[in-house]
Amino acid sequence: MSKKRNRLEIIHDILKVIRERNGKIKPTHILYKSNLSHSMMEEYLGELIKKGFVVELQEKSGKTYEITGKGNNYLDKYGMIREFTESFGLGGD
Amino acid sequence: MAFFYLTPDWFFGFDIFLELIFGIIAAFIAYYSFKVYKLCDQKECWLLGLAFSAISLSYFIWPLLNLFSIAGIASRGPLDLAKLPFFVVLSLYAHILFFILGLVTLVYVTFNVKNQRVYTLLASLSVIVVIFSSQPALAFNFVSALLLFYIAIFYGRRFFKNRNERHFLIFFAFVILFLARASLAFSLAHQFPYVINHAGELVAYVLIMVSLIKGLKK
Repeated sequence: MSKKRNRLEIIHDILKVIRERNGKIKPTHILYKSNLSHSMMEEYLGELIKKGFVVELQEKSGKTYEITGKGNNYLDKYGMIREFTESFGLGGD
Repeated sequence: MAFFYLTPDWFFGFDIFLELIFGIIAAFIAYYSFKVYKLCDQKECWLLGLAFSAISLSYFIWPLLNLFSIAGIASRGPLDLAKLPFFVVLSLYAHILFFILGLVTLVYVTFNVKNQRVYTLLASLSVIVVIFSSQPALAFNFVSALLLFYIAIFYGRRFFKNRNERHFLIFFAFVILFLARASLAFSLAHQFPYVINHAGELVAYVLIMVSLIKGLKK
């Protein structure tokens, strides 16, 4: 049985999916790739926008999400973030 | 009202050095907490940084108190707070306040309750008990030990749930910190608990540093 992901891991997975799509993605793709329910995805995207990790863009084809420099930095330093939070039990469940 | 620890004369100087080391290690953990907070924007990291900043400040004030001979004079008898210069009494209360607030913040982070009223209740109860006690040193050590006991339980449960070396190091470190703080309760009557406390805290902070460095090296 796979381990339940904590908040930091889910944020990592969403940002990774966006980066893998050249930094820009439609919400349907996030939903498909991140393995989250629609309401959970909306909640996380709201949090990511608030934290400045992604920006929401309104395009002709509909809503898209773009990863920011801060979001890329999170992905690059994720190893350190995970190890540190793991050490002190700050998983953000 | 008296506040004192009995300390052996030969230990004077070593204790100041060790307290500075504890302050530096706590400041290092706080620095990393804020660094990680800046990257991930998780409030828990900010709170951890705040907790260790307060603990670090408390450790930096402690040697100042020792330099002003609180411990030195105390080895010759209890120290009457009413007869001390105002700034020394103020430093003593700052040391107590920062240490307790640091531990309360750590406990709050481990409880994962996200309710500011719980935090303010915990903090005010802990501080009031010490400040208004007729034996502030005893109350301070008792409250600190109790808070450390709860933190140790949290890390113990984490270790038994997910056994790995780093979880063990943090758990063991907080168990030692708890025992070291509890031992200070006996320093009102004996000299050795003060030495045992410092030796224990040194081991605990080194273990926390080892765990942190191991994680950051990965």
